[in-house]
Amino acid sequence: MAQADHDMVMRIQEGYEAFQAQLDEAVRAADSPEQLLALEDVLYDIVEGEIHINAMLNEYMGGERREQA
Amino acid sequence: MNIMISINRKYIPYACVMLMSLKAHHRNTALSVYILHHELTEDDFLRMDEVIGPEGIALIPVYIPEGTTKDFCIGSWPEENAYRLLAADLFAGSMDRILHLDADILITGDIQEFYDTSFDGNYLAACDDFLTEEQRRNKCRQFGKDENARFFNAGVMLFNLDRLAEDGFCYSVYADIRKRYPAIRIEYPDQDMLNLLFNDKTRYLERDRYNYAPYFYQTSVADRYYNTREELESHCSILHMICGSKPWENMIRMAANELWWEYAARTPYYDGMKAYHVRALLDKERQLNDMIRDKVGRSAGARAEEASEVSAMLEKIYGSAQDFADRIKKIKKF
Repeated sequence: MAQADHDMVMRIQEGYEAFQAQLDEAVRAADSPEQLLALEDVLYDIVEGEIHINAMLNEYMGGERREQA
Repeated sequence: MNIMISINRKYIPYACVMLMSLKAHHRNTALSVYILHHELTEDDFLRMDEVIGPEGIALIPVYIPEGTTKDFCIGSWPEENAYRLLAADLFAGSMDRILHLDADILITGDIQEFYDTSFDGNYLAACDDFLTEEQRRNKCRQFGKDENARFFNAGVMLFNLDRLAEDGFCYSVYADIRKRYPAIRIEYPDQDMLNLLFNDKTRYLERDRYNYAPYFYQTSVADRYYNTREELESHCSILHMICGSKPWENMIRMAANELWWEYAARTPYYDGMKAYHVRALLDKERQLNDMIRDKVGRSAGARAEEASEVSAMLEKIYGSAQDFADRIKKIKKF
């Protein structure tokens, strides 16, 4: 992966780890139905996006392996 | 209508949602629901009765001693799954028919016509199973059936108790066959046994109407995938949340699941089921996140345009770390 893109992805991942810690806390602290619904909504979006990302990466990695071969 | 369901304690909330939906569409119909179980307590039934009783459904516990259906406890299938094989043993003689419903079902229309259907001499009334053409052909070979054979899904089955009793089909017969022919590969223990015996002695009814599985149609029959409330309520009377489409575990928004949650909200189990679902989404998210990080970390010699596209998508999904922090603060404000 081009270094600049790789760096950006790594920065995003680091930020996301901080997000996950806060998300865990939000789940623990969620004491109202509205909070749970809001969390669910956010997570649906993220999971849907990540499924798509993962599929893209699978295709990308498959192409890369063919190149190396 | 006489209904039978088979559940363990974990499935109590989901069964209550199913029963709520059943009553919502049969307000003027007497409903007797026989609950086959081996571990539900008196308190469980009292609580279920508090939830479902006011809806006008008679709940009748039927205790099944543990190990009764051990011949069909295969793999991770809980023994309650095979309780439907006990239908004739338990109910023949006291009624002519009973409708078995899985607990991961939602009723979205009138099913009286299904319940009253003529068996035309068959042992069961049911709908085609969720098989691709290749899977169906494989099953024909697996069971030694004609290449055009049909197979039914056991999640929605109307038993012709009179005929089953008349010809002596009871649990001991199924268990005996299981023992005599161990080489027959059985993946879905009870369903496969019933199909082995009755696939060509079943009255097949319209699957889109009486056993519609959104997950199957989404992946296999796209032109009949109904993903709006209007489509579901006009085309389907029974939704079956098979496989990964169980609303309390599903990772993708689906209209069928939204309908299910509307009924779930009428039960006292709603908050607990919602929290469980959020946890499942979190677990899935972490799993995906780990996979993505692993792939991004391992990729080398990337083509610039693909790498940029991936990065752009990641930023679109994740935004910046500050964005996430702000979002969490908003949630915590409630």
